[in-house]
Amino acid sequence: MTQLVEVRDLRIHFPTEDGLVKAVDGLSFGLGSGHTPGIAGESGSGKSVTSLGILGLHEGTRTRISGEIWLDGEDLARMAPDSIRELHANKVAMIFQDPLSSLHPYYSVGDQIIEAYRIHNRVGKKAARPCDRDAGPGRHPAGGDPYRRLSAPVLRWHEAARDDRDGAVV
Amino acid sequence: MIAFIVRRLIVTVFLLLVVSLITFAIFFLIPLLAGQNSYELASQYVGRNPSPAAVHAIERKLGFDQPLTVQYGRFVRGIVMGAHYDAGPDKTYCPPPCFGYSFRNQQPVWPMLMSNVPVTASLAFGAAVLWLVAGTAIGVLSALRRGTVFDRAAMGVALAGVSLPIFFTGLIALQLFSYRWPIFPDLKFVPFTENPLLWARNLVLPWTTLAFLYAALYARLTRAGMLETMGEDYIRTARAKGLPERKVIVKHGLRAALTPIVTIFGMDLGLLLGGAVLTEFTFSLHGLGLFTILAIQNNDLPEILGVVMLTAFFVVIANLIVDILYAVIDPRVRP
Repeated sequence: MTQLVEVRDLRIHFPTEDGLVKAVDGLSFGLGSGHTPGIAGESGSGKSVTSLGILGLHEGTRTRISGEIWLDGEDLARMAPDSIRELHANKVAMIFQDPLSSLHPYYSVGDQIIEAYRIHNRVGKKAARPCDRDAGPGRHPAGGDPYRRLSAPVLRWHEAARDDRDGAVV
Repeated sequence: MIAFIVRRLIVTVFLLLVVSLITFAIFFLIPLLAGQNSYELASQYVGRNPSPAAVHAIERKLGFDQPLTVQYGRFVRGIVMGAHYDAGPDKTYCPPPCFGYSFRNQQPVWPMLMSNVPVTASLAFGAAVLWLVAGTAIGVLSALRRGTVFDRAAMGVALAGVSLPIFFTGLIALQLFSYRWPIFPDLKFVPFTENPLLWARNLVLPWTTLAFLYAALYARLTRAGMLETMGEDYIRTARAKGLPERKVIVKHGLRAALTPIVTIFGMDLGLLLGGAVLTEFTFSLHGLGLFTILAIQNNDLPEILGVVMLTAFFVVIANLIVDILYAVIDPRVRP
């Protein structure tokens, strides 16, 4: 079976004033296509740090990452930031926890979905508006034009926020 | 949104009333409490060694002999509708907004104030543009390059800018660029409508001096704000979407970091419009600031009162604009 993602000897260290924090130290695993694995562990055990590391979302100046992250024959750990950006929300994505803080409070949920879509698709703002076809069955019980429904600021639409994350990933 | 603006306007009017009450109390009530009677108050309005009859006439004409509540009513009505001073044959009409007559030259205060506004407004707005652009730009760059030589140098200069008083930096700027190397010689205020080029040229030094102080403050504020917002979860989300870094910084980072800056900017600009005292003094610009100094030196009550009310007006209006802007920028405060 081909491995979709293969991580070899991943180390993610944070130099701090109190010494080096080894959040992830020598982790290796493979991920088969069509599988849905789960990572279990207590808080602070490095689940999020690993996931963010795979996406290359750690701050470069304050993190030391070594090891290999293979996705589709490319090593993400050695990739230029610009090329990784191409993959984001295109090939690799992450559904963050706590949608309330993960979404920008000054922009509407709809606009943030549109923004994500337009990064990888050269379309106008109107063409990028989410429509019910994309949203899938049963997701918006409220009905109506999804863009108008999602144009409320983030804070008033907690539940909609989760849909946004899904929409961005799709 | 319109209901919000109307509500804010009502609050603004109320606020101005409170300010007028407090200034009135400071200038009329406190002297009385301190033992000054209305005769002494009135004697300030007439020349030296006046005859008691003349003082009594003025006392009656300006209404100092009446109860304080009536006087306050007259004071507010004078500002809103103008005031009629008549005592017997001696009639004077002071058109609105009437802040009374100056002790110095017996002229109505309001036109005197207004003649000083262009200088101060030119100084304040020009400097504001400078410091806002320079301050936020340096702050953002410093935050993004935290800990580098640029960041340390910028923050060092900013610390100096915040600490050095304007009469120091201003005098050095004058000495260097107006006397030793006369790039900006012969500084005097030229109205914009008369000669825009000369207007700008003669204001470069005052603008830079004033902006240096504020830019330093704003650079530090922007840097702190940017450091905070760039650590937020939604910045990570923006990056995870594959958004180019420049857009992450400007559209997602700076926008959130700028809101507190907007608040402070409104206050600072409003206050400066009431007179940039030190800058005007250093560069001999005859604006509201210099006017205030003269008014205080001469104990010219109506002039001081007028300046205080005008400054309060600018600050309150600036705050009103900031509140409305805030609602535009940040949807969370929208009603």
